[in-house]
Amino acid sequence: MRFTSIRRVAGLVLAILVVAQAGLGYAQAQKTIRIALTGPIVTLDPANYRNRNTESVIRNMFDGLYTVLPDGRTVPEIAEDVTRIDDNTWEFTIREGITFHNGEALTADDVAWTFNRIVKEGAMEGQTSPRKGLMASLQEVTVVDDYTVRFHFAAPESRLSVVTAAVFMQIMPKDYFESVGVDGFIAAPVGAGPFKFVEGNYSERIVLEKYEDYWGGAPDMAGEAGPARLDRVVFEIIPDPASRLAALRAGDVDIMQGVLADQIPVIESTPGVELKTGPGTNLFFFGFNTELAPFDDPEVRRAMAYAIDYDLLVEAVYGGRADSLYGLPISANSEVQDPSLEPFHYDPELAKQMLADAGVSNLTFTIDTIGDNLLLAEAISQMLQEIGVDAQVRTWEAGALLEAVGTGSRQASVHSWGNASGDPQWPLWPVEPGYSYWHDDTFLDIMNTASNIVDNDERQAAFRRAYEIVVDQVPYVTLLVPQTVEAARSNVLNFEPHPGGRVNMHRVDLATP
Amino acid sequence: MSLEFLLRRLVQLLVLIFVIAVTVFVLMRLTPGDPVALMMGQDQGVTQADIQRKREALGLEDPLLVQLGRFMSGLVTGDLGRSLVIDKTVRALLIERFPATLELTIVAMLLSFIVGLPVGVIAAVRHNSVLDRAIMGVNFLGLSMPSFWQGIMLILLFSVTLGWLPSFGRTTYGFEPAHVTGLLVLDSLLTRDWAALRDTLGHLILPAITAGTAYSAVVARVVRSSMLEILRQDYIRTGISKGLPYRRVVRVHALRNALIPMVTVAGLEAGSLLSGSVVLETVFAWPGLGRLLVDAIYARDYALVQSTVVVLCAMFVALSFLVDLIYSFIDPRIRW
Repeated sequence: MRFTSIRRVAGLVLAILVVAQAGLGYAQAQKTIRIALTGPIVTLDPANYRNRNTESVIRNMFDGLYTVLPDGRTVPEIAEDVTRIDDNTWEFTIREGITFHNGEALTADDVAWTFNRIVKEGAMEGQTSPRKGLMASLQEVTVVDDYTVRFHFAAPESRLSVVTAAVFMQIMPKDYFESVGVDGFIAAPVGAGPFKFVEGNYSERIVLEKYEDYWGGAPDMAGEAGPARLDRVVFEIIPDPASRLAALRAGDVDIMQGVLADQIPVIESTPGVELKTGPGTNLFFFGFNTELAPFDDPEVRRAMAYAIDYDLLVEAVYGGRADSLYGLPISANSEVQDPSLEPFHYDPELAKQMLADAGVSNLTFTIDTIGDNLLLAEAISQMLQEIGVDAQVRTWEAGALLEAVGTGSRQASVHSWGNASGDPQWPLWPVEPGYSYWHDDTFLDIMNTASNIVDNDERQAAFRRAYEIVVDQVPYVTLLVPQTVEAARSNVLNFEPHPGGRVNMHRVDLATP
Repeated sequence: MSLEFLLRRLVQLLVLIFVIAVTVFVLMRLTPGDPVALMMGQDQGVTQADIQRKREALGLEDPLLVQLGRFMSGLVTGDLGRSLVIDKTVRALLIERFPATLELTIVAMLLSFIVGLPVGVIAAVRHNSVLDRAIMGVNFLGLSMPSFWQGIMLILLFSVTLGWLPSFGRTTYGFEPAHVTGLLVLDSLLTRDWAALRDTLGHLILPAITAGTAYSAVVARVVRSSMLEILRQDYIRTGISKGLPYRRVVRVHALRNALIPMVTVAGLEAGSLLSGSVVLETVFAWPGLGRLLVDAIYARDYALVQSTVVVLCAMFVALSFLVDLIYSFIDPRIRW
């Protein structure tokens, strides 16, 4: 026996390595881009998800009436325009000459059917679409003629709300869906987007190929209109951030989503790989249960807002790749924001004084959060220590924390809140009863009525008033919005991260070596 | 092997599955967190009414006993239900994920035995020598090295730095063999797709080494200790004193008997690997059962968790039954 077996084993392993290496010396098919997604997708039915990875795949196969560009602008896509008929009714005109991947023309029938399937109770094969909540008060869509539809809302809606609803759903082919059924459709989805479905497995890999007869895409989108430049898009599901980065560095994928702050220096020093950053939409906040002492006292909450070093959070936790909110519900640069509204700033002495004035001493509490937000919560805990507050951080599994906050049993927590549409009302939602347990009649009145103000200026003015109340009463302390950070190999052209975190391959290209 | 034994095991299996099904059903309901609230996320436009509507549609508002009854009757009829989160049936998801886990299990087990057996035998034959100590030292390292760290290091060395092996997944896009069994190496062989065979083998190497390292250390330790015991037995001494070559004594008389405890080791290893390793599957983006189950637990996907746990337990019990069968086959002294 002796060493012969070891030698044989070593020989076998070596042989396998050599064979395997030989197998990888292949030429990639022309213009195939491989994108590392952060997790599995859940469906290929555009009406049945609320999940970012799923959106990335679906939005490359399906186009919507309107779309949001990487710079955050909302622009027409399949729709040519939208006009107001009355406060509750808006009319969309649809571009002619658009075809689905099966060659059928996209008409008003498809648009009306698509939206009615999600806004009507039980219209999604007996269930109600999880996207219904994104549709404002939309009740029904009716066909006016082949290329005109009317959106009928239950309440008056502003242009922003109408267009935002239009962004959140992509058009599906009515006839095809009705002939194959939902199971047939998710097995072989057909849309009117730049890529058509080839094959895929939700948890491993999804392959799309160029739709040669694509209508061209949103006129306002950067780059040349027309069919996609890429022949194939391959989504690879790689849940672990370290493995995603390794795959990018090894050249096994071309775009990596979900870059962590501590990976940024590695990416910046890797030749052939570039960091891609853009604005984000996820609002992070330090929340309180305002019914529980001592956070029932606005002065204590205000002290918390002055105890936080906002710039340091951005630097230390996000490596500078985040935009600080300084306690304002929306970025000070936003056109909605009232420039006279004074942001909070870091002033530990003032914070200490405020606590003393409120008669609070030796304050001790627990900040509850999930593992992903641990660094942020720990940084806040450190900052609070400087004003003599002992705040311990406790991490929870997401589902358990969501429930605990919902029952009002948690004193303070660090959370995030999605706001992909940029509508000024959404950053205020965490303040609603159920999170902050804060009741202010004027504020609630605005929240219940302002979203249905049709005139945009009036609507913004109403929300501005709500912001003022929030900044005065501090039911939560808004911290920052992390930027969308992704990375791509240098030969990827025309790729910008999208604020909503999805990837859009409409006009992306690969440089030929 | 008596019929009575078979029947007894079958009844045990059914009772066990029933107990596990009820336990996992109850435990999932006791875990805080609501699948629908998690599904909808903390995002704009999600109202309590939306959540309520979805809960009703998914049958989560029905009395618990009704839900349990639905689950149990589904198990009896073989209908495992539909995932609450992923737009697929539980059966489809299990069929999709299981081959990946099975393939990795087979290769990792092969690797752990190919490495562990000879190493253990050498260590036993050279008991207390420098070689024995060195082997046991490396062995200890193999046992104690965290697999996520080992996995990432292997990727960094062989994929990122050397560029020899792929960094993730089961195949390279464009090299997938035609689907026959879902076991890609077998599928490549069946379809005589040699490029796919090379590619799938290449993808298996790093995960299999990572999964197999700890087990090869276990195999080596067990072989070593059982060999040491057997080499001291009278019949070995008799063989040697009768003039049989030492190698032959070791190979034929000692090793054969030392292999019997290996069946137990193999059974345990198979059971543990088949239920999927979350760490391994995460590091190598390997689409197996481990991640499916853990993701389902995080999402409170009751239907998927319940059925997957029941299927995994049934598999584990079946394996232990198989181990018993093999025992009675290889060791004539054992009779059931």
